[in-house]
Amino acid sequence: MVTRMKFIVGGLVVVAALAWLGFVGFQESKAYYITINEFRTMQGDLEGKTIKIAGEVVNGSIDRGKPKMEFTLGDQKESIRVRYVGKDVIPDTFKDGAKALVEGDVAPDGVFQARHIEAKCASKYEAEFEKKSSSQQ
Amino acid sequence: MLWVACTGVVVLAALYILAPLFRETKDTLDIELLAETELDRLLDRKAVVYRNLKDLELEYKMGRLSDADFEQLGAGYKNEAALILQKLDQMDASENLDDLIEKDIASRKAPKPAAGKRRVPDSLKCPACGAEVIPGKKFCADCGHSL
Amino acid sequence: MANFGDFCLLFALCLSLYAMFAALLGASQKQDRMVRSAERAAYASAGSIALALFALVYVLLADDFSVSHAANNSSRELPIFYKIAAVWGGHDGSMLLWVFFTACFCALVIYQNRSRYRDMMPYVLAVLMVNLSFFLCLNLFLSNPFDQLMQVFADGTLQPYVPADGRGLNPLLQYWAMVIHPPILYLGFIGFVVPFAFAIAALITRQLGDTWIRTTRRWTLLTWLLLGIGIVLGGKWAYVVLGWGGYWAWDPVENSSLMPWLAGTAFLHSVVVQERRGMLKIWNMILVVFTYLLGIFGTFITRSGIVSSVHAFAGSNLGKFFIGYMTFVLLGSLCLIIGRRSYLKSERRLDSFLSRESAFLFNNLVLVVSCFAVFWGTMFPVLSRWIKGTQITVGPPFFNNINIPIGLLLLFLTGVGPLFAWRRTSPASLKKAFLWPVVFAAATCIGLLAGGMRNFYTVVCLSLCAFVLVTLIEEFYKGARIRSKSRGESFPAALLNLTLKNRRRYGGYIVHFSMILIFAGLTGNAFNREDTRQLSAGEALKIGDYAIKMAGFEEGQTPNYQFGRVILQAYRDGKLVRTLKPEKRVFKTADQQSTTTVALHSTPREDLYVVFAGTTRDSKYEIAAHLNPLVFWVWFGSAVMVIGAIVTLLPDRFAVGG
Repeated sequence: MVTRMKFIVGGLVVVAALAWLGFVGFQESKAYYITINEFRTMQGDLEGKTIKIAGEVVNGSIDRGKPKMEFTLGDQKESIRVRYVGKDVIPDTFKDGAKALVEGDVAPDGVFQARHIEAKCASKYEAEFEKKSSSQQ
Repeated sequence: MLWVACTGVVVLAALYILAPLFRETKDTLDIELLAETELDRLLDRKAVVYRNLKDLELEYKMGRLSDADFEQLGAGYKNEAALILQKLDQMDASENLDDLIEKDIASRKAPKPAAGKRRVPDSLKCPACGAEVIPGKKFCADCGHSL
Repeated sequence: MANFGDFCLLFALCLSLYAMFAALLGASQKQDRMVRSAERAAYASAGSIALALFALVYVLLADDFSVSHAANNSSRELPIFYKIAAVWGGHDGSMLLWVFFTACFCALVIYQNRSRYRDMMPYVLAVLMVNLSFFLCLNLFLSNPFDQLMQVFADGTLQPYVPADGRGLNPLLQYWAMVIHPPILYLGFIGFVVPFAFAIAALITRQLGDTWIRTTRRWTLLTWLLLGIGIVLGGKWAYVVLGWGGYWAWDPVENSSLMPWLAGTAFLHSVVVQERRGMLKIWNMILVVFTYLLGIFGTFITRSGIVSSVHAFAGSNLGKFFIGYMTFVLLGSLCLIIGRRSYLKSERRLDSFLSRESAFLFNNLVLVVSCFAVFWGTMFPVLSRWIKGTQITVGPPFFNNINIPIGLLLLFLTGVGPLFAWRRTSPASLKKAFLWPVVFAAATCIGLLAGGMRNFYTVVCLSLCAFVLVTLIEEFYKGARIRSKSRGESFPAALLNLTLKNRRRYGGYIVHFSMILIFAGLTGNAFNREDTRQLSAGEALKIGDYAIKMAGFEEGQTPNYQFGRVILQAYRDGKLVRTLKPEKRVFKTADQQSTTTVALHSTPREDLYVVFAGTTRDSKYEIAAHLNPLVFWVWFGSAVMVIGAIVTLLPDRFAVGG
């Protein structure tokens, strides 16, 4: 019985310590995943928070001329201007029309500054032919 | 062409699959196959117990266990091995499988004998000097007789 | 041909359903011939699926672009090797591959046990067929590779369409590790259905000794090994092809392959306790159910798009079917376990805190906590969306904060466990056993601190590595010495025979040794360095002890892609060490996708990792260089892990006599 208690107590201590470490890690890394629309409407609330936004790279909007690359991220309805301030090499899949996920926060001048960019090939695994043809109508 | 291939596949498969259903049955499944299954299980458990004993010996020689613990743990495994060997002997000896099944069923229903019976059956004693031997060993530790 | 493939899949579904019903009927009516018929149906089902796979390969090799899978994943100029790989380049075909492997496993298991365990096998067969039928249904009705390509025409009607050429295989997949990574990973997910099926059969037939564990031991080990290889290959691919400098990002799809591996590791250890001491019977049942479910969950995350990931296939409606099936399996299994709990009582109890059983229990606890934490972190966005309305994602700091200490605890247990005896360990034997390992660990710790190392986790990890290393050396040395004395063998012969005659134990020790190597390799991550520069000819980038000089630039074409290649010379202490040629490729697919080919100079000490990011406006070349210490040991350790696992898997004829 005593042995069992020792084991249970020991186990609980370990689990508690890990849970605390996990909580700290959670606070450090949590990011709010929102839409472009929500970004516009929630402007004030978003100060200091890490945010993730998904959208598509608007055709022709990528501007690598400035010291920090900028582009426009849009969905069906709205779009926002994004400035990339991260250190990583920009992924190969990042180009006009690609689905992109940006993570960062709001810069003092109101522009969204992204620290990380992930990009996926546009509709890679769907029948892209269907989309192509409907745009030809 | 497609229809030919598909029909061909279906017909071949149907022949292959339904064939067993028309076999002359050697009665309904059971007795023999269950006895074999029981045998498989006993042999499986015997292999596990023997390996446990072997590992135990290895760890004792490496100095992990005290003498008392080695004896105690070893005795537990040997007891189990003894019971299994007994059952295997019975299965060998029995001519009539029905008898065997009935005995087995009866023993499951009957109250279990008191645990910790320490008497070691004959199959675990050295035929020459009568000392207790560990199953799986090739020589008796006391008199050196080949087992 | 596509229609033939479709038919074969449908026929396979009918066969597997027949097999399931016939097996159950045969078991309840005690009719052996019905069970035999069911077995044949299972074999035939595997055969039918093989025909379907053959049909898909034919469609791809014949460039039949009327089939949507071919149009989306293959193209005319694709080399034959990659055309075959296009089978699993897309969602639908990969499902067919999954189903094919599953059916093959079923057939093998049934064949292996055709003369044994006749009371359990009908139920094993039934469970295997339920699993197969579920995936066949998904494959047939929701993601069928033989679907015709349809297009909406100008007049608004939906009609078949045959394009002149396909979209080609995703360039990211055109790399050897990536080609074999999905098949190996699938084998690793699928294989856990075998111990699961035997466990359910054991519960139903009330045969709750060790039989279900022993018969499936090799399957479980093999599956665990394949899953591990799949995970490592994925990491290697991420490192060499994706070009961000690392090999593990705690991405949801990566995590979903890790979870069944963690559960499987826990299971491999806890069954030893059941065999030795008759304890943890209920726990083993629960664990095998969860390991199986986590395997299904893994493919669910990848295919349903429920959590966004760079890996995931596009979102589809498969999600609710997966959830339904997993719920059904979970509830059914739990009901069975609760119903049979009187057969699953422990034969013995925990006698001492300092015992082998206790070490195994802690091992399981820690692995389960890790698995749970990874699950929690991966699913948190979904849960937070349900509960709070906003989706909150969790990043690497969460996963690392929990899993690094867990890894260290596991490392500690790896060393300590074998030193404990079953039941209880005497203090005297403990002192003797711990002496040298602790001495070396302390020496390593002091040495590191004296050398200026201040990173806490690194010091602890490397000291523990030393600790475990010494315990392993002692195990092998002492064991061989005892054997060579008692049998008069020479020491090397004794060492070899010791390992071969105790394959499970010493093969396991080899795997533990591989973990030391891998952990040592992982500690390098804390010291990764990186620098990005724009260079013109003759300019150099300095990183660590290396100077990387820009020497030239090449451009060219292959049938598949155009490339731009930078020629760099890496110098160390003034001497030319290696010429590196990182590349950027633009593929001739419909969307002109580009990939990077990393240039790597790998030594046991560190990796020099160079990426060509592109040409800038003013004709300079952007080069990103990383210096990653000790990565070599992660790959080398993985290879040792494979060897160790193979030793434990060796068939009995390698062990002659006792």
